[in-house]
Amino acid sequence: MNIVLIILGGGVGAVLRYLLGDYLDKKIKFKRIPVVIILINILGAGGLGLFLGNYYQAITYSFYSCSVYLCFGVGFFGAFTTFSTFSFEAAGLLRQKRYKGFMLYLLLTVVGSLAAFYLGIIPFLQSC
Amino acid sequence: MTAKIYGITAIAVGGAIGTLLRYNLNVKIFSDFMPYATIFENVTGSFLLGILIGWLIHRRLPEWLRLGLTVGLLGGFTTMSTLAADTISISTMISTLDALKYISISLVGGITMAFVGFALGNMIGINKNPSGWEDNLK
Repeated sequence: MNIVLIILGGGVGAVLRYLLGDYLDKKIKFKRIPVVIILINILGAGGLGLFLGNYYQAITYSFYSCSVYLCFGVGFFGAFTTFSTFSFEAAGLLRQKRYKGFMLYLLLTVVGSLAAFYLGIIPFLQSC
Repeated sequence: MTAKIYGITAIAVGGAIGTLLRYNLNVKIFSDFMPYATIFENVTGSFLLGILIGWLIHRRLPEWLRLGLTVGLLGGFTTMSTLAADTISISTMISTLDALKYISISLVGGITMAFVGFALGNMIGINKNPSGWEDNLK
């Protein structure tokens, strides 16, 4: 059963990343840095924060016995966000010697994802 | 339209397989102190994506297969949301220094390996196909 939930969450997450990415790519005219990947990763990190806060009221990364976590945490949000495309685009900016764009891309992704996760989960934590 | 449906189906299948592989590794390489499994997945996934895209400069794959492997399999195998959750979790439960270590290793490792992977894939692609599909470059 758990395996089915992981497959479902992962499959839907990846497809949604593709469809939303495709849509945003057409809407966003700014192409100097990969804004679409930044937005998707921030959205997914924030979503995982909201989900964990709402469901568990805790910051922990090991609810591996819980089916809901496997479906949404590992599956959906895990697959909706991506690290491989992020690194590949970052390496591309380096290869083109676009160091400012590289730094901006790195900073926006890291600070944005961490802040989104934190802001997503913090309203649900009792004392912090 | 049919091509789009093939692509989306391949992404769903690839994403599901990538996620399942990530889950299995997370269970096998479980650690309370440092999510080594996620580091491994993100760095390896970046390397493989680099190789694949470098190789694809010279070689062709059907569009659905390309999408299934890149957006689906490797996209689903790696993750940014867990990285963010782990970093916040380590900094609150263990130490900020360990959280910094975790995120630095992931970023430096992932970007370096994507860089190296792309160069490697590019080399393999050229060697196997000297005439090249350079016209395939976007």
